[in-house]
Amino acid sequence: MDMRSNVDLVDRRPALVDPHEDFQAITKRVAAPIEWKTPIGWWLFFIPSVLLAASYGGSVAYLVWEGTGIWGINNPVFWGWAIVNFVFWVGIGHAGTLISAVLFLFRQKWRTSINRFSEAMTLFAVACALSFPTIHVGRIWLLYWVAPVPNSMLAWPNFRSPLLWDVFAVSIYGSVSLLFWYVGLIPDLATMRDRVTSKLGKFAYGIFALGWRGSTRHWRHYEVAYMLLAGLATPLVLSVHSVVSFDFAVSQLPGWHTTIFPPYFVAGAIFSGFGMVLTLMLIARVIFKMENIVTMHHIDNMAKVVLLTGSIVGYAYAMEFFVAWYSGSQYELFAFINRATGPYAGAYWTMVTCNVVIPQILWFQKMRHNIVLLFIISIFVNIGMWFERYVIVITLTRDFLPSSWGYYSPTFWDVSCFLGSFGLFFTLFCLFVRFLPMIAMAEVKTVVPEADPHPEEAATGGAH
Amino acid sequence: MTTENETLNKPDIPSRRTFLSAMGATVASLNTAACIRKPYEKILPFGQRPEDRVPGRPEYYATAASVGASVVGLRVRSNDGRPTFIGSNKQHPTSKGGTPAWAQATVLELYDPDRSRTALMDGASVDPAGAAGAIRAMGKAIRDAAGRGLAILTDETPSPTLFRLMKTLKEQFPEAQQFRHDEMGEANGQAGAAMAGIPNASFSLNETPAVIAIFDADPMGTEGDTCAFDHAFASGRDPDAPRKNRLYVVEPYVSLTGSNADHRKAVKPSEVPAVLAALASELNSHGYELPKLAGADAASDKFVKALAKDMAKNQGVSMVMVGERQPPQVHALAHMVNAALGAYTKLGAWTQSDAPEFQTADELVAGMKAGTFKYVVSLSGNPAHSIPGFADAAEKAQVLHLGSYLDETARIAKLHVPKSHYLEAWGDLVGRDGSVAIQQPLIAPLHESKSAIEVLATILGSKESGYEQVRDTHRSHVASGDFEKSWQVWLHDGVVQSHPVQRVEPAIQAAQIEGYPKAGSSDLEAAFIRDLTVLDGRFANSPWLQELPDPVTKLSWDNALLLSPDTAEKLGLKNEDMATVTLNGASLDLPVWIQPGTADDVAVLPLGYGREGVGQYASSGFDVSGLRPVDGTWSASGVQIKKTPGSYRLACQQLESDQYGRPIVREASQTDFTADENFVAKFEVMKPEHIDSLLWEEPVLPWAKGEQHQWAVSIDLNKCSGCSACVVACQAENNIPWVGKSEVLKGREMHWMKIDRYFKDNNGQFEVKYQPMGCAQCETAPCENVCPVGASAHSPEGLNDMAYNRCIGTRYCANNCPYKVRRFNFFHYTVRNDGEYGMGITMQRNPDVTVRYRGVMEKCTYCVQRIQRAKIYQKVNGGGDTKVKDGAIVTACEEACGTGAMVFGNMADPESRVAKMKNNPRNYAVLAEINIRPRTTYLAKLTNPNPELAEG
Amino acid sequence: MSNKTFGVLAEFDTPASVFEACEKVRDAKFSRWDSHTPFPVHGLEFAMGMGRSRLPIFVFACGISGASGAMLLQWWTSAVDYPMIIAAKPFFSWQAFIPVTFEAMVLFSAVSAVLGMLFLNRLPRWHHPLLTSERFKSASDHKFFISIEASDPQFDPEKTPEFLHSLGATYVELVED
Repeated sequence: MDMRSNVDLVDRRPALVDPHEDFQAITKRVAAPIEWKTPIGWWLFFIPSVLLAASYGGSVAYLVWEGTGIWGINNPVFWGWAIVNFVFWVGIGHAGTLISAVLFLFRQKWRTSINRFSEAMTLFAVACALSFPTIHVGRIWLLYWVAPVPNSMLAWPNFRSPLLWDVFAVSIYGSVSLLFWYVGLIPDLATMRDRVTSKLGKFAYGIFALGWRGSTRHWRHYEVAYMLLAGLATPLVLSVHSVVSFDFAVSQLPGWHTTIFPPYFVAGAIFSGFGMVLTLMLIARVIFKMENIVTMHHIDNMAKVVLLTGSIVGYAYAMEFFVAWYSGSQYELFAFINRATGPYAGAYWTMVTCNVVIPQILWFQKMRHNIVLLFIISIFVNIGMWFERYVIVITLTRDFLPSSWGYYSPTFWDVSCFLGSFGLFFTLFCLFVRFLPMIAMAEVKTVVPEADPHPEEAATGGAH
Repeated sequence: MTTENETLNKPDIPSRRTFLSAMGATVASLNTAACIRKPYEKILPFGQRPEDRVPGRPEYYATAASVGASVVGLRVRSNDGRPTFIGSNKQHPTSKGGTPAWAQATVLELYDPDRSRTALMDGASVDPAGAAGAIRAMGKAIRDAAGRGLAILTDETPSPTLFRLMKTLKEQFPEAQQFRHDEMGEANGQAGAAMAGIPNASFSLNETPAVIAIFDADPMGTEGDTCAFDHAFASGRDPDAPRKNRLYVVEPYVSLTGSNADHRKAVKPSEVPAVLAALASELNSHGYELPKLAGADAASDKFVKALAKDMAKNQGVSMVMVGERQPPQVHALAHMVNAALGAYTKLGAWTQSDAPEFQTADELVAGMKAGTFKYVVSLSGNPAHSIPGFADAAEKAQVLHLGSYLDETARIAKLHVPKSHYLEAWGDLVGRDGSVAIQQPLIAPLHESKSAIEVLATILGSKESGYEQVRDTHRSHVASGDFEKSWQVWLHDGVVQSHPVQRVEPAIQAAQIEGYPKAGSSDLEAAFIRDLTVLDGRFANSPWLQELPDPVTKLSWDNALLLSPDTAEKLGLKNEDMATVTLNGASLDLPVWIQPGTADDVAVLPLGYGREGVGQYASSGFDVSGLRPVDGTWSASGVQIKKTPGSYRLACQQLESDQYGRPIVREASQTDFTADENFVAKFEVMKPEHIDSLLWEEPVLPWAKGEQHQWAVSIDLNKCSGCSACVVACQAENNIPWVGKSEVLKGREMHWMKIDRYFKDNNGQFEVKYQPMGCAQCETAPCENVCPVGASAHSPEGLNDMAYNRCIGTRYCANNCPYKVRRFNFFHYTVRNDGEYGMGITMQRNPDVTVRYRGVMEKCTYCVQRIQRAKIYQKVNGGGDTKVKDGAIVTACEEACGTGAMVFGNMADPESRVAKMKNNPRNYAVLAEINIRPRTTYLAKLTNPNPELAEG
Repeated sequence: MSNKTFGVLAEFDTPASVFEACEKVRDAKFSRWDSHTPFPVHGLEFAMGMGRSRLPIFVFACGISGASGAMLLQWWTSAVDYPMIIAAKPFFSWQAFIPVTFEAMVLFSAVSAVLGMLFLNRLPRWHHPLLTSERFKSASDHKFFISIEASDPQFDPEKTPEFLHSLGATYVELVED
């Protein structure tokens, strides 16, 4: 029988991987970018990224030296871009684990081509995210007081503070994502160990491969562990952005104190995460010639997820207004009307346009398959989601007492920190695509037709 | 020479050494029994500590300060010899236990690094002995010429000793001439009184009138005994006051008084006289004998008719007041009206002043121009700037300038002598009611300075010790034997009991008034006003007063051209536009600020800003004095205003003036209140029974058990005039840094306490509401819940404690504060202040309060340091009873407030004033609906509109 | 060949072939043997006669201890060791302690899952005789292997390789220790 039919014999869906790819070809293709001699293009990305990251370091150094006053924050807007960027990055950091964990539990085989990539993105995004709450505190050198460790005051952290929940949620999310990512990497690191010729490469990959030799006795525990991690990461990923949303929802400020925040934040996070995955993936698959592994089928699915979550977010925006009116609280109602019509209405409508209006284009498959358009839309999604957080934070300008109302405008240092964080993000990303297999070979191999140990059963449609 | 000059060490700047020796001097002069100075003045090493003096325990001294003829009795705190806080003297009759904002700021003025430090002869510094020698020499020279060619210029400081010396001078130097000029004085008022037949006398208000009609005066802000007036006014706002009052104000700009008016009429300055004239003629129709002046009827309208009727109805307890900005004739008419209404017999008393005869400033300038004077001795102020023509005329004379700053006069002076601060020198001050307070120094002069008394004494060749001079003045009116005893009592009380007071019965009869101003012109008029914070500019170098927002405009660090909305529109100007103001030749570019309530076609120009070459802060703003007519009048017609390109950012500390229909400042009219005592409840956003549903079972907390003290504050909005003295007092007490204009523009001012002010258009009538706002110590404090490190937590006594050294600066608490009264150190403001102010600011700081580090949140904690001190005192002296007595703790804001608007106390004690206030039907909590249970609550404001005018 | 042999290594081309071979090896009652694949071949562990992994029980235990540990910590620190009046809430306001409890549960379980897996697999083990075989490199690429160790009681330097050949191995070699 023809193993190379265009139909995945396992689940009778269009093939996830180009049928002309066999095990060896997959390995070659994935390993290729690592084995190439460093391409110029990579440097063109890497050097600016490193410089940008360095500028972030510089900005932070000045910040710590001079004080948070160098930012635009003031009374009443005590949180500015730092927190906006934090939520923005955490949001992006959700798609990875979501794709890896949730889609894994739902046996969505199409995830295999993109999960490594998006997990990496998650880690780097979370790294950027964590940097912001760290540098935004007034006395960074005492930050360790948020950890439940005995200190000079014999006092403990206040576990009622959403900010403290944040510390736990995000840092734990980061570490669990790292574990998840690393566990997935082990077999591929072994592959690299067996392929590379350079002594250093052998040593490095060898160390991190932990002596993996594809033993079935190992696979047995490995698969269970991976499944457990996926099972744990799924509620975790949902909890993290809920907790982030608590920073606002658990306060009592008009426009912040709303119960819709957790689900709305999670949806937004997935939305922005997929937006960023698309942005990066659409570039990477071209540069690294991965079109056969990351097929239109994957792109199409991601576009659908963007459309869905985008619409959920849109629903949340509408529901906020309804609840604000229905609550009968004049403060609440004012806060929302002010968002749409007040001094910062521009930001609000940018958000709505980018997050709700533009993604509607994706209802049409034609559009979903237009790579360029898709790329542009993904950029808009990123912009829109940043503005969503900006709109939320800027709500601070007008709360209960008109006497304390004010305005907020960012300074040079707000901007430099934000751009700098992109430097950090892309630097890590460049290193990733250069030195690590950006696609989970072992996993992709499991979804090609040859992987099935019982071809004849499959051919006769027998279940296994 | 007395021993005094030896005690004056030679300070280059207030260095640590200066400070210690200065402190030594004070220590030496402490009396062990009471807070009284001993007559000898020697420096003692700190090692020989007088008994009863405990390092770290503050001492309090009674003294007094004055601006113009207004005397404020003070009780100043000294920590280890450093004056650190200006408290109020409850016993003083003309300040009634209140302190104006400027008085609060004088403690910083004392340490101002820009004060002149050494005497200058022709610009070169000379030592004190040299300076004194020069003065003596001059005195001798004049003595030989029987005083010919000597002109003495002073301000209106009402010092009996100064008066005595002036008289002596007149006796010994018959040819010498004495002049008086004071930008904060009341030349027009005195001239008017003279016209009305009461020359050289002053009126003191003892009880509140039932009807007060103010004509372009600001007795709450910048004129007269503001504290006494506030006190009288507040006493008549209480619903159960024996006599309730009603305040009518007719004025061109929104003065502090006008912002508290029940009825306010905005007219151009030139129209004010007409309105008063109209009132007078209206009163005729109520059977009073008053002059009918030309054009009076034209100005008569509903307002005037209602006012006249109201005044007639309250015969004897209603009075009119006219401000210094109006010409003498208007004052004269006012006196006639008051005499007719019988106000002067019931409401207060006239007191004969024993000030000598003075000539006016322009007579001085004329004399100088004519070359009559060889020597001009300026004992106060900065005539080269404040008296037009003085500077040019000065070339013909040798000017001896006694002043605190190296200002314009100092620069043209032959001899400049640094002037001692009132906390450095002996003096005495007589109030408008004739009461005398001894001005007792708390510290030896920090610089090589002298007081006016000392300089005058030196010229006279008399005893050069101010201390001796002051004692001599008052020795006369006590039997010699008990002088020392009574002297000590006076110093202790701050008031001289036995001082003779000469009352006068004003003999005023209605007569025609010569040259009563005609009704106003049609064109644009300029109104020069005294600034509510820096006054005429004498306090312009105080960063505290510069940063203190103007109570009405909320502008800080600048003055601006104030225009009414319509006028601004007509001129095509908006906020922060630059405009060129041209008035009789001179012109000036300054920014525009639109102030609702200002009369149309009036350009309001606050004085006192943009003072170059005085100090590092005084230069901020724009010096409008150049536009002022040379005759020094306060208003002028024929102003041209043109928009000029460019704009200028003004540091306004409150950007919103509307309450957006939120029940923040709750108010009702007296009549509505009597109809419904619990009207505040009508404002509640949420019914109390709907609020108390909690996620969790409420724990039994100390206050629930009624254990220990439970601190709380109640603020009576009826009694708050918005004067903002409390804001400065809080700043002085709690070491609150100033942040400077650039930071205020970013919205980062640090005042723990602010006076929120809201505008209201009450069917056509412009009204202002004030609301003091500080941390309310919410029982279910939103700020505590969100702090990740628990830096903000509750004390069992109900205080929302802020552990500065625990704070890591996440600023979440401030976000979550519904009142936005938490303040964050975005930069290291404390160190910045040190950099600007040097040792000065560190000497002023209160050792009981930590200075906050950069990156730390701070806020009001009801002066917890005062609470703790009082608790310790009670524990030590209470004999087992640890409950602090009501009133034993006075917070800084409460101490500064003369009207008793603010009351702090233990609400767990049902007998305490605060507990009683919380049972008042007018009691309400701002934002009660979000269940924060604030400890600071408010008593709703009651207005007292005239029913005839109430319905617009 | 002075060194003693570690065992025999047989190479197969497809998952299917190695699957069948494993079943045979299992039926031949070998005990110390293993199969090596570049990716987890579906059901191969059962073909080799192994049961389910017991890792979950261990992970569950750790998760529970993580959660209860976190709740205990929060209770002790905020209600016993240093109680503070925070916003008039109870010292032990458990509602507010849920998020941290949950996160701690996840952390403990995740870490235990990974460490548990490594422990059960006796990893890391950076040296293994099989890794010396050049052919074996493709075990992480596209080939499938069965290795029978010399320490197996049934092992025979001659018979066993033949047996593996008979199972369709494309290549068989002896691996030295």
